[in-house]
Amino acid sequence: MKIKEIELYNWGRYQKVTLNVNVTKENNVVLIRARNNQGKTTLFYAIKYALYGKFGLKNHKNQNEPFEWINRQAAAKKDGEMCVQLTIEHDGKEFRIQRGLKFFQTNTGSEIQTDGKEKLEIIDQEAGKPLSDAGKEIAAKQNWINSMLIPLDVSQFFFFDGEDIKRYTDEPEESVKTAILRVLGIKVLINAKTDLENIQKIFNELHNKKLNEQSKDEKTKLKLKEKQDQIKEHEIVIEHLTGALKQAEKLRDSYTEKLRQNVLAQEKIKERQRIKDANHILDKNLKDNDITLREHRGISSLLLLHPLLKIIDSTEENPPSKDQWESKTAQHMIYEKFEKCVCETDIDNKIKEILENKVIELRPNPQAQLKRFVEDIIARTMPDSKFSELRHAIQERIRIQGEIDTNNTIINKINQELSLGTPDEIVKMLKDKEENAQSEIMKIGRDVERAEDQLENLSKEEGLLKRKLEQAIDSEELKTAEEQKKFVQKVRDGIQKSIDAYYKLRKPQLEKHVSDVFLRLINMKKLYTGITIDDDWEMKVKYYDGSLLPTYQYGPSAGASQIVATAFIAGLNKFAQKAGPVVIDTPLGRLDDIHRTNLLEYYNKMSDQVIILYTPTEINDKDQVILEDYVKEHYEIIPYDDMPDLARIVPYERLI
Amino acid sequence: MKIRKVLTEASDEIKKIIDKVEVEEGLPKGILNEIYEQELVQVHRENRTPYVETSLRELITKYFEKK
Repeated sequence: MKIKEIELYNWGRYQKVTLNVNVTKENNVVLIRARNNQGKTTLFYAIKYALYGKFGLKNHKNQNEPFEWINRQAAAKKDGEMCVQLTIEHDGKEFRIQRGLKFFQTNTGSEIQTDGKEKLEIIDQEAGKPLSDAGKEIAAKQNWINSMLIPLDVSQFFFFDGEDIKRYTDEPEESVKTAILRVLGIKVLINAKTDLENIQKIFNELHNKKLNEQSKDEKTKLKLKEKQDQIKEHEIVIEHLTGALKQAEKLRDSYTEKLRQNVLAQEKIKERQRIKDANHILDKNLKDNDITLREHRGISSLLLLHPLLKIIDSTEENPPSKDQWESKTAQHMIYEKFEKCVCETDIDNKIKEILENKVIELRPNPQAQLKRFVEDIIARTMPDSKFSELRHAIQERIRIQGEIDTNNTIINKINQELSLGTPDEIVKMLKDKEENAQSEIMKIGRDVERAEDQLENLSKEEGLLKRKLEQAIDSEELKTAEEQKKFVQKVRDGIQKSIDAYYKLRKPQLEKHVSDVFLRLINMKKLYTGITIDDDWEMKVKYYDGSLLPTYQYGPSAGASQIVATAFIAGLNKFAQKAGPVVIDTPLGRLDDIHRTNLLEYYNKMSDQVIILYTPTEINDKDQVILEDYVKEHYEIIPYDDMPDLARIVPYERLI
Repeated sequence: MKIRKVLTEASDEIKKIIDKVEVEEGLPKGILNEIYEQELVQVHRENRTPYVETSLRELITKYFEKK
């Protein structure tokens, strides 16, 4: 199923809105931006209302009835109609779902009056008429939506509020459990089991009735009646005791969990000591390094020698080298009285004069002296090797300091994690409480066993009394009724066996789906290996060492459990294998930056169509870059300038 | 309304399991499968009593009489 268009008439803050939300395979995201209280959630609930009527509104904090969503301004003016329409594509066909309510003119401030008759139409767009398959009655049409599109309870895995999804993580409520069973495909079998149990009751009553009618043994009948009343009482007692047992087990488990955490705390204290010892050695290394650096400080001026030599070399000599060379050569030739030049030219008076002119007065050159001095020192002190030693010492210092800083961060983190109080005292107290809870469990367990034994005896006695009555009556009818009962029991057991086998097969698959998404969304991937789901659908995060953390302890922030919940929803959504749009209100809630990025990178992969209703503080312009390749439409909900209570939806232009 | 897979593609796996259970438990062939097919279309029904008292009861009686 894909939503192509949403039309709202007199719904909440909207008087008339048509919104194209169609997407393509490549661009499957629609972004709708709005500041708080501008109409974002109103639009979210409009979609749910169109599909599920008042049942779609049940999770809203205060507007659970359709009349509460009627536009007040419209109702103040005149009678009218509130209507939400969704144009959808399903299995290659286009349908329009219209749901609405007529309202009467109502004074501002009063409860809006309606005709009380909700109208639901499912139009086959191609045929241009109501879809005959969906039936005529509103219940039949609703059944079509539930069975063909997305069932109401499963819809919570498709349409969800990012801030509200934490309720999935710790102890899911019954409706969530039912939805999970439905997604897993087990709900049908569980219904079958319950229905068969009801058939058993019918056959049982029928059998009892026949027995009662046909037997003349009033005394035994009276006894049987008494036994049956006792059985009923015992069943109630067992139900209460089982409830109490469950509570006690929960309490015991909570102490066990706290105890485990305190054992962990003690391990953490040991770990902290180990790190402190390591830091002690590192501190010593740092002091040694200080000495090395101090020693090198004395020779630091040597490091300037090479650059100095370079400067000397690059500076022009005065007089220039050529003039110096010519002067010295000429002096030598005159002094040695050369008659011929090296080029065999005779040195006559004219050339002698040229040579004499070449002779200049050469004084000792300070630059050359400096150069020789520098070269001499370089040769003696070898600054290159000193520099290498110094560089090594500095690098070592950076490494040691880095390790100390990292260790200090870990120590601080451990300090934060360790709650106040002495772990030993807390462990003792928790052990006592755990033992008490365990004793209580044993006690209730014994009571349950006793009550069950009594019930078994009563049932046997009931059976004997029934047999006594039956023996007195030679009725084929009664025998058949008895056999029927046994037959239904056998069928019911067969269904239960199928449930057990199927559950065993499917639950690990769901865990894998949820774990895959979870590992994709988290930051510290090395620390966790996945999510486990117990038989009560409570989720736990699996730590790398195999220990299990309840989701509320997985991360320090409220956002962390949102990650687990999102993984759970995404896993179930993936598991449902039903092509449906994902509509998310408040997608990022209170997540930190890295989780936000991970989630934004994941959202477009959740479904073929993803509609995200966000506030500017949740997804800023920078975050939008992550999604922009997938965005098909981007809208903004804004109030009318002259009517601030009414909203309109316009294309959003990002300011660059 | 024609019976179709509701929501999941689990039906085939469930049918395999219930076929096996039918044999193991010595139940009449096809009974669990037929119950499952019927339940599939009833899954969204809130009030189940009419279904239990009519269709399901008839189905059970049919297989019981065959037995």
